[in-house]
Amino acid sequence: MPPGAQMSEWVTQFVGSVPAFDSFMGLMCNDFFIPVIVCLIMLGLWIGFPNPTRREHLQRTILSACVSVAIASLLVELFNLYDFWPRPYELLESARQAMQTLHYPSGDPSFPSNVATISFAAATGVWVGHRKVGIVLYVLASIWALARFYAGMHFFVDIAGGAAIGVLTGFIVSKVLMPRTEPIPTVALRLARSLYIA
Amino acid sequence: MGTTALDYFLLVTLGCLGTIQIAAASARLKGLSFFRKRLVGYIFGALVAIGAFGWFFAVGNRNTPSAIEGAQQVGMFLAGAIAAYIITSAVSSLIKYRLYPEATASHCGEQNNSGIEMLKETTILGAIRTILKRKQEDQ
Repeated sequence: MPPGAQMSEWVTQFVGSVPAFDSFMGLMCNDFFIPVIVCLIMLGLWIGFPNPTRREHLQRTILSACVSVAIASLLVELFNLYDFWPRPYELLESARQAMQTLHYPSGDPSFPSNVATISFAAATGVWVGHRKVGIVLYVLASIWALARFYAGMHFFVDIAGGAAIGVLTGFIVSKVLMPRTEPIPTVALRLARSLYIA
Repeated sequence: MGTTALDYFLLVTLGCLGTIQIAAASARLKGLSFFRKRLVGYIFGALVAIGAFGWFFAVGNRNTPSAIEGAQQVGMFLAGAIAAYIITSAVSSLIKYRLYPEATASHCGEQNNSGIEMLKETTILGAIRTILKRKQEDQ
């Protein structure tokens, strides 16, 4: 059992108590709902500013966020080489019932939470360039990750660990990696501009 | 491709189409917007995007193993976004080609005044035409 496993047992026992809340959490932990919203927000940031200088700054921000997500996904793959502990639904009866009610079994290891890692990496990448939208993405990332915790898919430590990896990756990519990879981002933006997509 | 994958592609394409209309209205990109009034662009974009989500989650249970892996989701999102951009460009060019046939000289060539910045003055078709015309003149 991972540290804090009793939290999963306590939280998942509430699944089934309030059907409306379960429906909401079922939507929030869905594979498509929050990730598509996050991507659409990033697309909106890419295009939606009238000032060209500000728009270019935000396009660099979105590039950073995308690179952060890619590197965070690779880090999750590396972590997945070692299976730290089983999923909550494989160990706890209440979590198994929660998973059957809200989601479906997953083939990936429990730690770190893939969902938390990539969503926090994206939110951090965006937060560096646009604070308000970054906070919105942090809220969405938190809801998505906590919904997976509520659904018995992850222990809290999986979520916290994934979020930490995502935030660290986002910061390192935005503050260290991207400035040092110039002129690659500039060339990429110039190419995108020639295709009228930037 | 399974039904969920096709549905997902449609969700993404419509979601991007709506988002591009909202963003075009916000950025005052007349050549990318379907409408003259920005408010109509906001409303249309929101309705299309929200409608796509409503349809996607209403037609079936989406919390089932879908066989769309994370990397496939990213690839399909990119494909959907490109499809939405092509549809937007084609439709706005058709609708507004006569209104904004070409960009003015101030919107050509400079780094900050190229790419989608040109779409403040003309459609994508108009921008391409402007660039080709300038190249011919240069020669």
